[in-house]
Amino acid sequence: MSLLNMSFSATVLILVILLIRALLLHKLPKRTFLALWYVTLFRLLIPFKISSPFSIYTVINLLKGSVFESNLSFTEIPVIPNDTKITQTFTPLPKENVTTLSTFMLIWVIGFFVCTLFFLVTHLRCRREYKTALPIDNNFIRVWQQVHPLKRRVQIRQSDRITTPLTYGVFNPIILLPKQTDGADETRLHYILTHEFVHIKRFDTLTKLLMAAALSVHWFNPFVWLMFVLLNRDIELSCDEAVVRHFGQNMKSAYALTLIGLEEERVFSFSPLINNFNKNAIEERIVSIMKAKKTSLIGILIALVIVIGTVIVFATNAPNTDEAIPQTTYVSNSTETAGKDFTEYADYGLSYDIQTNKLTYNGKFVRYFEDFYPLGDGAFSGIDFFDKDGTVDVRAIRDLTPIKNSDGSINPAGKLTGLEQSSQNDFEARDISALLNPAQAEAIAGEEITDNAIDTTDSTQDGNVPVTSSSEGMMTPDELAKLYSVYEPFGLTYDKEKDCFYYEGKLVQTFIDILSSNGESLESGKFSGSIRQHGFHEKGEVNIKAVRDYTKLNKDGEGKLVGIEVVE
Amino acid sequence: MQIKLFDSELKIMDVIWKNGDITAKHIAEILKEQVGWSKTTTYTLIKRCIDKGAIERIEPNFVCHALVTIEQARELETTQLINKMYDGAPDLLVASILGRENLSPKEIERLKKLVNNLK
Repeated sequence: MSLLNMSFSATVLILVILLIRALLLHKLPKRTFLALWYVTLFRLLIPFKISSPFSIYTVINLLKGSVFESNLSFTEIPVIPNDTKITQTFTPLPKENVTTLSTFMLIWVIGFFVCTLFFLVTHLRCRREYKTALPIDNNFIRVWQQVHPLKRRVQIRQSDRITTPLTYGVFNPIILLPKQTDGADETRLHYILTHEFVHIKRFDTLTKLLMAAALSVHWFNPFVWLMFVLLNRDIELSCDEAVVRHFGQNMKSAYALTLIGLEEERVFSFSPLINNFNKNAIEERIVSIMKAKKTSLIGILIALVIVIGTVIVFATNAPNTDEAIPQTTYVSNSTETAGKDFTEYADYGLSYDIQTNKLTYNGKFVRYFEDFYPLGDGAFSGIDFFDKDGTVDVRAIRDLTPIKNSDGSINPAGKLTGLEQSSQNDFEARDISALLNPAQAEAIAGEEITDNAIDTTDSTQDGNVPVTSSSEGMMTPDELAKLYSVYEPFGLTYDKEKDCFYYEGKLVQTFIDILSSNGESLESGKFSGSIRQHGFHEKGEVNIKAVRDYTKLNKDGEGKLVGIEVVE
Repeated sequence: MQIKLFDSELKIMDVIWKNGDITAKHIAEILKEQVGWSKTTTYTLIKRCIDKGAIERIEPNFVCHALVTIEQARELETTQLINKMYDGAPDLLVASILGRENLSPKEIERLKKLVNNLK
C-alpha cells in the first residue's frame, strides 16, 4: 500500500474521529478518543491492511462498480510477477510518470528529514536540560513513591529551569517538578504526582513519540497535524479523568484550581515529545474536569460500539481491491536482479539457501536445475543452477500460452505450473562436463535445444517470432526484410522468401543478435536485455553473431551495430 | 561582577568551593555519586559555568578553578531575595529571620551582635 493510500485512509479515519469528538467530547469516557487515535496511529505507521466486508471502501467499490462496471474489470487483469530478468524489456514505465514520481519523492524525503530533525533536535535539547535536574529531598515525595510502586523505576527530581511539572523517558521515566512546587502544599503535590503517574502507567511518552514519527512521515497531510494537536489534548483530558476518578468527585474543583495555579506560573516552552502537566487548551481541560461524571455502564457500552464500529468501517480495506497494481509489480521486479532468485519456485518445493548456495528440492540437494523458456526463434531466457554434490536434477514446467501484459506486450515466460524431477536414467545420462564448462554465452540457445530436448522446442521451431516484442512477432516478410536490412552493410543479407540469412554467400545456420544487454551473460540468470535470434537451419554452413557497442545506444536503447562475427 | 547561576550550575560550584581546585573528572565522579548525573551532564554544566565566567579551566587535566567565590554567589542570591520578597529592604529580611520560631535564643543573640557590629 502506498504512502498516499495510507495517508488518505487515515484521513478518513481522522475526519470521523473529529466528528465524534465534536459531538460527544464530554459525554463519552475520554479513553474512547484515545483508543480511536491509537488505531489511527497504527494506520499511519504500519502499511498493512485488514480486509472487512463492512469496510467503507467495500461500499464505495460497490457503488463504483455499478456505475463503471466495465472499467473496473479492466483494471483487474491479473499480472503474473515474472522473475526472469528480461521482463524489463517488455514493460517500460512511461517516462514522464517516473520523473514526476521522483520529484514528489524528493520533496517528501526533504520534508521527512526536516520534520524528523526538528523533533529530534528540540527533543534532545530539552532532554539535555532536564538531565541537569537535581534530586529532591522531600519526605512527602519519598513516602508517596513507596505507596505507588511501578515496574519501571520512577525518579522524581526538581529543576529551576522549568515552570510546570513534566514527565520524560519511556523506560526510565523521570518526573520533573519545578523548583516552586517544592514548597507547595501536599494536596497539590499529591494531585500533580498522581497525574504524572497516570502518564507513566499509560506510556503516554511513547505515544507522543510515535505521533511525532507519524507526523514526520505524513507531514504533507494537514489532518495529521490536526490529529497531533488533538491527540496531545486528549492524552491530558484522559489523564485528568483518571485522576478525578482516583480522588473522587469531591475534589474536582480543587484539582481544577491546581491546574489554574500552574497555568499562572507557566511560561512558554515548547517540548513536543514531553508530557507536560499543563500544555493544552486549559479551558477545555477545566470544563472537562468539572463535567466529569462517573462512567456509567451504558457510557462504556456506547464507547465500545463507537470504537469497534469505527474501526471496522473506516480502518479496514475492502477485500481484494488493490491487489496487484501492475506498475508496482514491475518496479519490484526490476530491483531484484542482484542474484539468482528462486522464490518463484518455493510453492513447488524448491528452496534456496543463500548462505550455503544450496538448492533443495523436497529435502534433497539439487545437482542441476533449469528453467528456460523460449524468447522465440531458438533464444532462451531463464535461470539455472548447478552443484556437483547434488543428488537430483529438477526442471521447471511452464504453460507457454501467451499472456498479455497490460501494456500490450507479451510475456514470453508463460506461467510456471510445476517442477519435475528427472528420472534416474536421465540423471546419469546428463553430461555433467558440458554443464561444468558451458560453451560461449551466445551458443547456449542452440545447445539447449539439441542437448536437453526441452518440451517447448516445438513452439520455437515454427519461429518467425524473432524478437522479444510482440509487435515484431506479427510482422510480414516485407517488414522483416526492412528490419533486417540493417545487417546488409556488414555482409549479412536476408532472404524473405526462404526466411533465411546469407553471410558472405553462405547459408546461416544460427544467428544471434543481443540488441541490448545489462552486461551479464545469457546463462548467468542475471541477464537482462533483448535478443534477436534466427535459426536453426539444418543446411546452414555458418553460425554468426552480431557485435554491438553497448556504450553507444540508439533511440530504442539498443547498442550500436558494429559488425558481424562468425562463431566457431 | 554578577553571574546568575542556576541550581544545577551552583551544584558544580559547590563541589569546587568545598574541594578547592579540582579536575573535571573528579567533579563528575563526585556528582555521579551525589546526584546521579552522567559524565556528559556534568561536563555540559562545567562548560556552561566556564562560558559564564564562573570557572576557569586550567590545563593539564582540565582542572577547574572557581572565579566566583561562594560569598559573591550568596550576595547575589540574597540581593535577589531581598528585591523579590522584601521590597529591597534588608532589614525586613533580618526581621523575618529573627522572627523565625526555630531560632534558638543563643542564635538570636549572636545575630543581634552581628547586626550591631555592621552598623
